[in-house]
Amino acid sequence: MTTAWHLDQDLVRRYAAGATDGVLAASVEAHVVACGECRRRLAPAVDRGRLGTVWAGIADTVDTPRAGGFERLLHLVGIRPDTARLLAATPSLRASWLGAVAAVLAFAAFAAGSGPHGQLLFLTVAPLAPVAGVALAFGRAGDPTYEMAVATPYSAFRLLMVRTVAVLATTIAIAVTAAVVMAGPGWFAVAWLLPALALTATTLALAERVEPVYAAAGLSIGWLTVALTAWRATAVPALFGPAAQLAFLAVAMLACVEVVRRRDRLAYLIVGGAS
Amino acid sequence: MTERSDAQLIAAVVDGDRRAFEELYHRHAPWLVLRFSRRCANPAMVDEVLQDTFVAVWRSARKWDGRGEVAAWLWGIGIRRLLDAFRHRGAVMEAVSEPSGTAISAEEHVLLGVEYGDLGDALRRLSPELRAVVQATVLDGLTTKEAGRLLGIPAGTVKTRMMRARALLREEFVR
Repeated sequence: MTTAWHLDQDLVRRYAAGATDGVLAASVEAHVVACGECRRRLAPAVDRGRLGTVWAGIADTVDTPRAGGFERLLHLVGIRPDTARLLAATPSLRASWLGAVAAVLAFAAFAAGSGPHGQLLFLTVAPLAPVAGVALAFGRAGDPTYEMAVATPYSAFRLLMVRTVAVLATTIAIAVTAAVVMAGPGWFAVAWLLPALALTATTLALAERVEPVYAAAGLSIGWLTVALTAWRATAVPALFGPAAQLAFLAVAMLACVEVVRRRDRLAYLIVGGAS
Repeated sequence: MTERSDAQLIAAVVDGDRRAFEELYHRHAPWLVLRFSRRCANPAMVDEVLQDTFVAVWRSARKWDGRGEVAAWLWGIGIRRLLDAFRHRGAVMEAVSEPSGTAISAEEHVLLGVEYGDLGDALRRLSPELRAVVQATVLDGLTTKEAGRLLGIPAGTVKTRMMRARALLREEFVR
């Protein structure tokens, strides 16, 4: 705007002090929005130190990485910011991973609709998802915060538990959803839970000797072999019968006891990635 | 080097130019502080709103459509941040604060003549409630709903007051 008129010193002083009446102030404000010269004239009325402090705050905020959607969701449900950041950095909680799990289980669930063989396929595949998820949550290969996790003064066991529980909860939720959606006998939706727990806990318990990724891979192959053998031998899968379930429960409990008993060393090895 | 215009600074900010962003800040923060301060008596809150405003500018500079004054666009962001701050604190902005008993100087008449013509006098004759509504909607550029939230009155009341103010102003000019 090209008005020849500008704020004079006195008006600048009175406006800055809040000593102009509403209509005059509105008039000043309407002019200032359109006039760079008057904006410059107003500048000395504000303390430079104050503007500097606010600028430092702006620079800080702009430089801080923004929390992603998942992290904000965790904040909302009341999870502490540091824990939320840890979870958000867990690779097997990422959208791509969870999407893959959902896809695999959806195919398995679809196959289950085709009859007893399909149902067996689902029961065989479902326990593998949590194991792989937990294994991939740790170690040099999959964890982008690996270096930080090693150097951070944070209880390694707590990190181990937080990540494991989070991964188990999400993958199991997906698998249970898949199981409930498809048709099958009542025990069907939960029969794979104990094998999944046994496999996961054993993976962690073995960490002293084998890296979690390899342990998980080995156990998965073992599980598949056993499942396929049992599958061929019996029409009704003994592998998911009461006796087998009890055995899985026993294995899971033994492994959990082992993990808790040697928690410090195991946590150090798993979170820090045994080298 | 010649000074860059506000529009050029915004374009540079879109490209992530921190120097341009800082220049924009130093150019516009002072008048924004003063204008916020007239609407909010708490300096800490004003600083917070100023910070939020510029963080929002950094993140959404690409949303500037390139038309009109950059300053007006900044104010549009700022007043809404101020509104958010008030809402979070459950506070209601004081209707335009006015020092009582200020005599209208001849100079002020001149200024109002430049900016609004007879409108200044007409505005001055409105009741404070009506003037607050005019200020919030016409001068600060808020929607009816936002103005209602700002002044602590229902949106419907903002509408009726705005209608009354308009009628009164029209009367002033017809006379």
